[in-house]
Amino acid sequence: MKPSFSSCTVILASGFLMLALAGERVQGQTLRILGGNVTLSITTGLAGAEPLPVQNTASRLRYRRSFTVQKITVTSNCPGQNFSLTVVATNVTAGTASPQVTLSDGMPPIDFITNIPSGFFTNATATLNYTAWATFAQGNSTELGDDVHTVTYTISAQ
Amino acid sequence: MKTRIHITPILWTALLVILTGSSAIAQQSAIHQRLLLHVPELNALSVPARLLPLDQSEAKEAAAKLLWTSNGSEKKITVAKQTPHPAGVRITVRDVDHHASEGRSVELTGETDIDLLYGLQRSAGACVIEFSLLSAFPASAPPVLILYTVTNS
Amino acid sequence: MKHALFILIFFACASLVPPSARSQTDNHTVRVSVAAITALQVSSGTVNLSITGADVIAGQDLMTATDETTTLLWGTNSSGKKVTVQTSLTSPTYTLKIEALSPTQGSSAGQIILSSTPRDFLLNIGRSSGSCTIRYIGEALASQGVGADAHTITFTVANQ
Repeated sequence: MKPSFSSCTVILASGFLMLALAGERVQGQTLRILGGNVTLSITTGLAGAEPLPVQNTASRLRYRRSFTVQKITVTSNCPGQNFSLTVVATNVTAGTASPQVTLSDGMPPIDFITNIPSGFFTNATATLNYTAWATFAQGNSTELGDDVHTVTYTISAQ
Repeated sequence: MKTRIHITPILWTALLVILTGSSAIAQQSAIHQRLLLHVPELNALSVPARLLPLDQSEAKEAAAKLLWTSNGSEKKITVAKQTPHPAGVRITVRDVDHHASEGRSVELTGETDIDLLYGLQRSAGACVIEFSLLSAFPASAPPVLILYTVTNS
Repeated sequence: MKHALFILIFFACASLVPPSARSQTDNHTVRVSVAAITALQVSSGTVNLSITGADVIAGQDLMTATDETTTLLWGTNSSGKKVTVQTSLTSPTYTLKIEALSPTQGSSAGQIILSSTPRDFLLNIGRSSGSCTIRYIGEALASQGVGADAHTITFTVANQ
């Protein structure tokens, strides 16, 4: 018996859903931070100037392209923040990196990578390039404690 | 769009410091500086009164103060008459600080250095020097120039 | 024609896959730690201070020379700090005085005679970056004669 047009549609749609759900298991999350947590330690300063900034590029962002154009935003939560932290995406394989974002406690979501082109469930990556800096006037962790940021990245349709 | 990290001026400064090999980035709560305080032999003489009037007709004497400082050992002060003038000048020393040459009197007739004060030893001091003419002195004559010198004894 | 329609429906279905079916958000912890940093620098490691004939006044025992050619720079992110100064010479022949001029942060402790015991040089420099001119004043008496003192001067950031 020859399958009807509507039957094919149902089969294809079901097949796609299964594929999509299977993809979740096989490929992981739509957006994932690789490399775990990050620590930046400022230990050196210049007499008559300021402590030297420290960079960290040990973590990456992996995100999945979809059938629509997407973007990734970033936000941070850091109660009692004393020092300065910025992040910028480098080595972006899909999309356009936004300029350096300053992370501050309670900030609204800021565009991080935009114009991620649509694609058939292909993964893209970007390096998370963090820079921490502090002035002498901002003090030190011994007296004030470390800044602990919970940095959240969100991918959504643009 | 190309993404670019904004390197702050501080970072550039740090880079410059590292490239120039400065020790500025050394993390230390103490730093040293070498200082050499050098004191060479120093001698100074002063006669505050630059022009002294000598009135031969009244046989009046003129007096001035001579001051010196020397951190050298075994020094003396000599005098010489610099003006080629026939009139001689007598110089008498009094009220000398320290222990040198009280009451010493010398006659300057030529341009030869004559010891005026001696036995100066790492000291600063002062004395009064009195001048008198040895012979008649024409009113139209130029001033007599007297040179004082600190030298080794 | 039918195939094209199938493909169209396929993509339409794909776009209907609810976003909540995927993980759209991820986070991690970024810790910023700032060590207690203290940095000191002098603009020149050596100073030559000579008393010259110009510093001598006939009749005065005291001879004085001054140097203001070097600068002290500092940075500290700890609170309650000061800078002290001392010399390595326990028995110098001549008197050496020091003074911080025009500090950009904190306050000068005024003119002090250098000794082998630390003396306050700058006060209240906590959590700052700054600089000041170092003024050295060498004093010799004629009675102290000819000679030289070689000092190694140490500036230290200390708790106030």
